[in-house]
Amino acid sequence: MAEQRAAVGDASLVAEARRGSAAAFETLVRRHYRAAFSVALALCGNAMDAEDVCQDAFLRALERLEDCRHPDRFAAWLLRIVRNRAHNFRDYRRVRAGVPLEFADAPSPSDSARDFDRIELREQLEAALAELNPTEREVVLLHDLEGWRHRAIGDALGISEGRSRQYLFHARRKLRTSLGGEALREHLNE
Amino acid sequence: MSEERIDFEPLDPTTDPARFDELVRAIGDRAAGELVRRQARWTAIGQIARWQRPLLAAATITALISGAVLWQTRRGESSKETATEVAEALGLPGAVATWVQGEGTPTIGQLLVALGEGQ
Repeated sequence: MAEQRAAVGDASLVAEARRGSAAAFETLVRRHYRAAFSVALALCGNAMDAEDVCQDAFLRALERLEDCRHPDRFAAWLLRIVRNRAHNFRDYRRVRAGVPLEFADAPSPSDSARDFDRIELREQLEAALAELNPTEREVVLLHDLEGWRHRAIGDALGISEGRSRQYLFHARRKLRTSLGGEALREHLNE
Repeated sequence: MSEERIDFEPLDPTTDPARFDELVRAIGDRAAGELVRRQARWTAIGQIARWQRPLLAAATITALISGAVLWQTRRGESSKETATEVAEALGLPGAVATWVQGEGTPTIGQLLVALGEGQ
């Protein structure tokens, strides 16, 4: 059933979700979670906040599904919602100035050494991403984490394909400098 | 030099399937209420759709009957034949019906001729 749905286009899934199909909605979430997460992470700066924003954005999208005028381009529409929610979330955080979320990423005593390494690596990546501007972050995450092509990225971000390539080039160069070639090579060889 | 993809695997929320399932389930749980509301709304729309044809047929018949009655009434009010028929039914001369429909006032001579016809 899930495999069958995987082959169904976004437009059909949106139509089913509008009628309250939980299975169709879940397929949309699974299909577009990583893209939503990439944009949320680019704007929030850390994975925990990005997950909260994604959850919020998917619920918002479901509530406003009738506003999605081109269901075949659901992803681009969803990313606009993610971006709005991320901006709201950041403003809320700024006002609230609560406990820094870095603590949430700290490993618990039960975490294995591998988990610890992974969390450390994640923090390094988050710190390196923080050096980029928001558009560079969105482009590099959508391209290298989600695997989108430049045309789709340009379409979603409202920039040309060429600009997307430029952003990716600069983002990668900055990231390599921040992370240090050595650390990156070490990680890639794992 | 910057052509090589950056490996964001440690940030990828889907690499740990159990954790990803958890994230998806959390969204599904929070979406459950909205999904139920949508199902109910679509069921209601379905009910209306089932009644749509008979309701449309009834509305069409009602509109046709109303239109016919209205048309008949309006036609009766402006009809010259009706005025003549009423005049005849009341035993009045045919010329009276013409005066009633016309804007002019009959002369005394015309009245005398008409009354003479009536008798």
